[in-house]
Amino acid sequence: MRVAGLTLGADFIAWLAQTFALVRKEILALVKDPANRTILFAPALMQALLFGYGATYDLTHVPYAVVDQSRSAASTELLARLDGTGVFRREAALASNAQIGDLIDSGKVLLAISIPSDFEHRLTVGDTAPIQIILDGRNSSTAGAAAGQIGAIVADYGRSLGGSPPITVERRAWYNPNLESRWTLMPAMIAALSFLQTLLLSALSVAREREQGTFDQLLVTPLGLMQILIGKAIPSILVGLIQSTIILLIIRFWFEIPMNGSYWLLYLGLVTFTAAGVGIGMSISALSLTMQQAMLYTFLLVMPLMLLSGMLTPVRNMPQILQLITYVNPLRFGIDMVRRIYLEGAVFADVALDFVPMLVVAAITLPLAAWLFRNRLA
Amino acid sequence: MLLLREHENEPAQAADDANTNKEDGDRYGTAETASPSAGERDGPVIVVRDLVRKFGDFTAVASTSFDVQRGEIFGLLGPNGAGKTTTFRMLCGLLPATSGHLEVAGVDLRTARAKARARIGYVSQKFALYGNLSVRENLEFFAGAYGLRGERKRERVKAVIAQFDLDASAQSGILPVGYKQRLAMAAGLLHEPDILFLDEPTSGIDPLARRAFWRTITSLAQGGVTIIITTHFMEEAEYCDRIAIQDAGELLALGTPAEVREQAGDDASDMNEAFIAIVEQNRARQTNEKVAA
Amino acid sequence: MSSASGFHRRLIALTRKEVRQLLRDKSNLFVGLLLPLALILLFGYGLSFDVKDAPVAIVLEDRSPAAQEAVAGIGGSPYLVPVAAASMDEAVRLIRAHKVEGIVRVPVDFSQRRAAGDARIQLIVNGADSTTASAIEGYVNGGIQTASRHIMDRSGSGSGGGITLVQRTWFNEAGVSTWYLVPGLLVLVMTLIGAFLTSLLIAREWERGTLESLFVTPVRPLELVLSKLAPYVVIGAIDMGVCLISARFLFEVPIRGSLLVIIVASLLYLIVALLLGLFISGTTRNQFAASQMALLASFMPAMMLSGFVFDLRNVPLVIQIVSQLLPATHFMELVKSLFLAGTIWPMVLKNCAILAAYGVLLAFVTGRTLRKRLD
Repeated sequence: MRVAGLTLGADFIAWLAQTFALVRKEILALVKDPANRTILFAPALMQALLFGYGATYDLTHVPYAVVDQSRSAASTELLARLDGTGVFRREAALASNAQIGDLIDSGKVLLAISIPSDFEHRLTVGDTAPIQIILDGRNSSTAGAAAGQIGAIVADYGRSLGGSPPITVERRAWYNPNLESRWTLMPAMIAALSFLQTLLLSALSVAREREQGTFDQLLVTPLGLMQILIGKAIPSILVGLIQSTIILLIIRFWFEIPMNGSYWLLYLGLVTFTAAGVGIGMSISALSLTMQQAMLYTFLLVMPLMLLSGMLTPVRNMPQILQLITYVNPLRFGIDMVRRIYLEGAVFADVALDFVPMLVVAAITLPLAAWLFRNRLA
Repeated sequence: MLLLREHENEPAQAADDANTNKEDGDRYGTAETASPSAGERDGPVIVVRDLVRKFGDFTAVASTSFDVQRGEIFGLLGPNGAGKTTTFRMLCGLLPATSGHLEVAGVDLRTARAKARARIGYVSQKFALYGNLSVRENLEFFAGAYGLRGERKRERVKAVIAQFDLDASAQSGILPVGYKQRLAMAAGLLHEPDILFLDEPTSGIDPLARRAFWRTITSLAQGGVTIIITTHFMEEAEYCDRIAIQDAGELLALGTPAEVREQAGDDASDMNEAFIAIVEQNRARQTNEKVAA
Repeated sequence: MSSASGFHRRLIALTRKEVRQLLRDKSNLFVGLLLPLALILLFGYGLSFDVKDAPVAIVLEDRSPAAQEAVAGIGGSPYLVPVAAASMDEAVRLIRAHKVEGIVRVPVDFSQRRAAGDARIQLIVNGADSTTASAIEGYVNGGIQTASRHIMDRSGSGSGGGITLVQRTWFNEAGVSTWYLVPGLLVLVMTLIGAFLTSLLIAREWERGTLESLFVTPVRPLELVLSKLAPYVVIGAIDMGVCLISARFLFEVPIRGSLLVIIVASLLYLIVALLLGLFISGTTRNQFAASQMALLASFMPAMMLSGFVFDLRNVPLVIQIVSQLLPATHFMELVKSLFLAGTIWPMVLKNCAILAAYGVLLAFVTGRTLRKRLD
């Protein structure tokens, strides 16, 4: 018995050593190409910074025009409150409503506020005083947000004039006290930005060897399919994790978004997520005869996966049928998992369900890829 | 009707041919190669029986049978698209056979491919090592993949670098063709395989390098390594112990170069002419059959 | 005259060869025609900022009729789905499990304080999804204000008064996000075909050296380049048609500007994108690098930094400069205005001039790269 155990152990070590030889070769081939070296890590860094600043739904600068026919203390006070936010910036004071059109058409202002001449009078006699705002709806999200903020400022001003409404709502936002959209978007990037690269890298791994004729040379070695699979998957997973780490560091220390969860759990989730991505990539790779096909198929798949991931807009807003499709999308659960752990400080029990679809995808695609390696005819 | 029946009989006939030829080959082998290994022969190293490979409706290899003995240099010859590459790929385990029996180094490739692969070396037609890795990195990888470790790995890498006169630190992808071919040979021999598969290894290299190459091959065979080689240089066929000529998926001739020349008829003075005669005879026969049908 | 007709003949022959080559590999067609279609459907249906059916837990610690009246408005909102929670603990569990997106809590002393005119309701939202959270805040506020006004009206305490906001949104009256996302698709699809697909396919030819072998034939480089680009212009034009038709009839986005101007501007942008793709392929000459470059320099920025989703007014100056450098940004502004606002000539001319300038610049640098590569 002991002898059998010993040989089994020795066999396993030999098996590991063989696999490691492949892992080492893959990593060498990857980093020896100077073009690859920059491509592997520079884009993640650049995109994290660019999108960190560029991808925001928060209003920071709303140019507006005003038609103040009231010219009263009340209208001046209201506009001063608006300007005091630092967000609304008065670009033009117009004499009549007719001048609004051009300014909005050309995009010089996002909105125009029109205060009628009897504004103050109506307020003093206790009448309802209407103010008109005209918004540029070409970006309806921005328009809606701007209208909401003006509404809040006007309501606040109204309250200061007395006659406060009997109920006030006190809002508290958990996990993101100022409701900054960057806090929502950036953690998603930890998963999303590395997803494309790992998918592409693994999709190219076998396709490249096929195109360059080295795959046959690999197949005649005693390396088993499992070993080839592992040897090819590990470098891709490592690259994915390194990219995620770069983005994580930028989010944590550059954008200073607080991390509330456990790094162990986050990385456990990222490994699972990346493995699912690599499984998809390797299956594409096994199906592709050329690198070009591998890249095109990857792209064909990545775009819908990104759109249906809840990265830009919540999954709940989608039609039912599309929501159903998202269940096979590891990116959806990867993003959900990262957001929950990073922002909400979720523990394993909270995100356990996110692991299931990712594990299922990995468990199907990785063996599928191994099977396809040999059974897809060269 | 008659023709049809004749056609049906063909595979059986081919098998018969193969058997007779095998015996011939044995006789030839014992007589010709007085290598030290000749005495310890323990049956054929490669056994091929009724091997068939189809791609859809197209039959790339029709029922083919032959044996290869240990220490033999066995040449697979045929025009382009004759099925020699398909046969070759099935022998190395790169392509599953549609039907038939295939035994390499004592194991059935269809059931124990990984085990069999550890005992074969493979040098492909195109340079198929990793171009952006150095010579040493390539060799170290293949040594590892073939399960060599530690001291033995270092030893073997060192040995093949010396044997093939390689520059360990050179980048493989930018080496001249002849050099690349030597590197590919080195990689194929790292694990001291019993059988070495060579797919048109001499195409694109100069005559001098080709002669050096054949010297290596013959000395390997004398050391007991079985060599399976495809080539389209007919004069190289003369260096083989036995050759097989294939066309349109069928095995047309099998035997020593002398026997094959004999089969071709009197007017075949050299291998080149013999090859052309055999292929053309067969094609003419097939055309006749088609016309008759 | 004869040389001109020779030029045409060679061009047609070459183009035919290119088209045949393009059609041979189905993966090209997948990306060229199927992906745009998929993108249109996915963007049109899948991307929406319009929150619907967001579940919100209601915790009534005060079960008085007044408290129930206050939160009644939430149930009436088409955007929110109230979920009754027995206690704050349960509501917290629900929000942590993502079963609800927010909690509306009416505290025990609600009725008491209402009598004093200082009633408070607590709203907790999950800020992890800031867009949904903001939308919920707006809807909850709206619902409660309505209730609040009813109370005031009944009691007559507020005596009317206050300021009302009369809001009008031009170009997109209903504020449907599809209306501003779908026109942007035209930009994405043109970028995809032009820059990504072209750079990828032509880089492959560089990599394999088939382009060099063509350069030594009597074919002039210009003819070669034109014949290489021709099939993509055709695919791009088909995709443009698909985009326009689905925008108008599937998603019912109005096309208020001139259709002709939209088509002309799209073709102009397509050419710029094609040249960008050609430039990238010529500089990298490596498929993998080209695809990455194309992704980084054209597609990702077109999606993230061109004003497609994120309003450029909100981004810092540096990003604004980066985005202004992208041809996609100018085409995006143009397309959105042409669809929703109409043909605003100064804007049309300005953006078309910028695109044309990019075209000339890219043609120049691409020509130089190609020539240098040949020497």
